Amino acid sequence: MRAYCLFFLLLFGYTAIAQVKYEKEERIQKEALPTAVVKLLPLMETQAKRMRYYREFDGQSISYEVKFKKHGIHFSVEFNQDGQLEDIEVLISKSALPTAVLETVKTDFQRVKLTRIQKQFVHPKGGNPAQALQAVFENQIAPTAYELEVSGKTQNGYRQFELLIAPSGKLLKKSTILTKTYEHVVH
Amino acid sequence: MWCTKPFWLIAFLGFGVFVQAQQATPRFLESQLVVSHKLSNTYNANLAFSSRMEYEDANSSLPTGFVQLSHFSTFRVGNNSHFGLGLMYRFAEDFEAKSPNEFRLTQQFHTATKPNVVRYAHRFRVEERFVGAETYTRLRYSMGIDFPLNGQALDLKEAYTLYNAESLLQLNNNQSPRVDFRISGGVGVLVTPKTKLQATLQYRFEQLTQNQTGRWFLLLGGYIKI
Repeated sequence: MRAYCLFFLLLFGYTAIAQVKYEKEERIQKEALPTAVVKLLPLMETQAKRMRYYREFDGQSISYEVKFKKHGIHFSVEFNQDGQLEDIEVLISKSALPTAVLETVKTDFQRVKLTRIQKQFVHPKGGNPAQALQAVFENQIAPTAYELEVSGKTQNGYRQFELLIAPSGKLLKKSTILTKTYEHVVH
Repeated sequence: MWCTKPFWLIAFLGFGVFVQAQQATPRFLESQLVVSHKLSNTYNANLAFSSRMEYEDANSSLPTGFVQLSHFSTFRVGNNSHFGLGLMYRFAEDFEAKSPNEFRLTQQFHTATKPNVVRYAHRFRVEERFVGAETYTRLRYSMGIDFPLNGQALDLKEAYTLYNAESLLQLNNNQSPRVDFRISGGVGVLVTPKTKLQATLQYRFEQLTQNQTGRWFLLLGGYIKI
């Protein structure tokens, strides 16, 4: 018993010494959102379900995210720390992807599985956020890019990536997803 | 948050039942320390040290029932699936004269999916248990879910919760088949990027087809990645 106590005390000591990049994402209440975001909420909340609000800190800056389900479609709207609209993402299925995008995905993998697919609408600075939101909800504008989370077997083994691909099929960005390991929760 | 408030109520009710004296229902405390290491993208190994203590009402003591050492090798066979092989040796004779030592071999297949925030996992296990002079084969299936208690991903210093249901079938030439069922729920904390602490409350329905008994377990775990 004493050995166990000493061991766990040592673990907490290690916690104090270790220096890690501090990234945090937490769920918040509506009242904690910036004023500019709160003003846009009525537009998002109309006929929407499961409204959730998150604050994210990536080590350098804070951003806010509003997630909801509207007409059966999952939306994610991201704002910077001042409440300015950054982008809108819409969850879609594989069948909604352009052929050119699918071909780009298959290029890098021997076997690939698309785990998450979103249409991304980047909001230009100075634009009217309310108009942009309405245009996305009514499907009046084309996405600026497609964001995909893929997992598959590469020459270097199993990997997970986040890909940002233009509608033309041009690969804009590719980053490795550092998966949280769950060995402790092997049910 | 809607999904956390009822959980805490249920968790405390569960602990309350655990503490309340029930002479017909023994209570057990199992603690486990697991050290794991990822040797490659497809192979992971861990070593675990566990012990079990049983609460005795008569003298309010918590004597040790056994200690065990185990090793598990896990091989990734797909995007979300793993195949595992395990060895375990349980030292019981030194603690309880009536309990023989046990050597166990385990073969396991585990698969999990995480469409959004909640992760769903399935685990299939076949065990060969060499307990004293007896040999048992045990088949196990469990299904579990887990999710972070704050936000969409588990960050440093944040907590997660997990729930699990498992059915077991034990076979032996000299005995009737034994069917057990276990349910559990718990919480854990990501203390450092490589360390997690977890506490789980488990109820075991044992020998469902014979003289059914039930036992409460409190499972404490420390998980370290090196």
